[in-house]
Amino acid sequence: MLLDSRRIDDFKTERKDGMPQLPAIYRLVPILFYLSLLFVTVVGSSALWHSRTASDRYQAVVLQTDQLKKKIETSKAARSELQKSIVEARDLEKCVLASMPLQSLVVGIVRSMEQGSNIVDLSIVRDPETPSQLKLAMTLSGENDKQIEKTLEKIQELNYREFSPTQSKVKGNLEYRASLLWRKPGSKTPTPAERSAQIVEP
Amino acid sequence: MLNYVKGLLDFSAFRPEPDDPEASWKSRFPGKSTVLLNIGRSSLSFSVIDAKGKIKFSDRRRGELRDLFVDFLPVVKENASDGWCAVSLDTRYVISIETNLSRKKGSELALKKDPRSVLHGRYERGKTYAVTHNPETNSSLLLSYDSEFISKTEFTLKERGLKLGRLVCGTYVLMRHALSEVNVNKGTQNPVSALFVAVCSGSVCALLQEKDNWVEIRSRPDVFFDDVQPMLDLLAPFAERLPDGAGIVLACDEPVPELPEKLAGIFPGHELNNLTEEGLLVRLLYNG
Repeated sequence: MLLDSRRIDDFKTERKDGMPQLPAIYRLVPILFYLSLLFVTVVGSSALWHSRTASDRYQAVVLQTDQLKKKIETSKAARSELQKSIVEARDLEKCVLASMPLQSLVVGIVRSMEQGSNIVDLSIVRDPETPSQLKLAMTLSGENDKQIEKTLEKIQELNYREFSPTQSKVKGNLEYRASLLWRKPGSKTPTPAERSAQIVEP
Repeated sequence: MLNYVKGLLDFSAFRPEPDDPEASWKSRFPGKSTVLLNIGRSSLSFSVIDAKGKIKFSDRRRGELRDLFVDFLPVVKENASDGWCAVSLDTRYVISIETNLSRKKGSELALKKDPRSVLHGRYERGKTYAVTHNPETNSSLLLSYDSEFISKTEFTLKERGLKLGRLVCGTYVLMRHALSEVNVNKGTQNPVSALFVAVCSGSVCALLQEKDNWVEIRSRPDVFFDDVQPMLDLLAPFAERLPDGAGIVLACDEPVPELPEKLAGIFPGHELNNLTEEGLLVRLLYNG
């Protein structure tokens, strides 16, 4: 004879509105809820931390930018000062160049004269606006047609470059006019004459 | 609605409700302390059950139930989680042997809902029943309670702020336990003869089983309080009818001093199988 030992007869009045026990699979609902809460907490904390870090970095970058802007302003001011000094130095250089003595040029022109050639008239005038330029006006007489070329070669040896040259024959004399520009030895800047020579006619 | 959401989030919706009589006590009140009340005709006792189903402390007194309730109520309320308690009604019940009761599928449930359809002529108006069938014979143990008394008990507890989680007949539960502990072989190969004695809060039920047949039953509530002599007088007539070699099976809710010795004196030559242990009824209710 076997009897169910676990059965207990209960006489309590049964409740009609009792809720049935939910299936175990429904446990996933609160589990997922708590997991989502955990996820939101972790991700939120991480985002907050990153936000604070990014904010700190941004502030640091802004501060650095301000410092760099100030440095740029300082550099610009220093550069402006330097450019002013450069301009002043150039002016001074021009002034020094302008004050270069013309004796060597006059001696060079005179020595370039060959036998049978004479200097009828010679004037060298410094342009007050551009002191580095000289206005050369020269009248030569003689039978040697190559004299002017030799004189010009001598002038070039003295580091002067002529531009806007004009020459004409007046009463058997050769009148030559040009502007002279002293060029620093070793400088590669072409003279206006060289520049015009480089232009190829179509 | 808020309660459903709360129940879902604290996982209580996946546990049986405290009110669910189908679920075991420990699954209904996990991790909580509860109280078992034994209500007799003129005695009241309580046992505080801890979260592990052990008795923390208990008390039993004799007197007017109304006065005893007033005395015990503060302690019971303090120790019963949310006021939940189990009740063993050890008075105003009748346990009898009936034969040829319906054993159709669902008849036990029908006995609770509509006892007339199962008991027919043996049905009494205003009674609530429970049945235990003998699987080897056509006899059954029938427990009947006064429905009005059950309702009154429920109302009394509710009125005092207590919630009823289980209402049983302790003597009947102990008797079933004794029967299931001894009758462990299926079929009629090894029939058992024994006198089963269940004692709960002064109530006694004795069932004589001869070769698996339930022959005679003597059941009486509120037999004794301290002096066990009335119980011995109740059991004495079985001495003549007890077959040779049949044992005595004793199941008490609490150990009764000197009872085993006195039973041995009434039933000389019969082996005593004492199933009694401290808090036996509490253990059965907690696990059942």
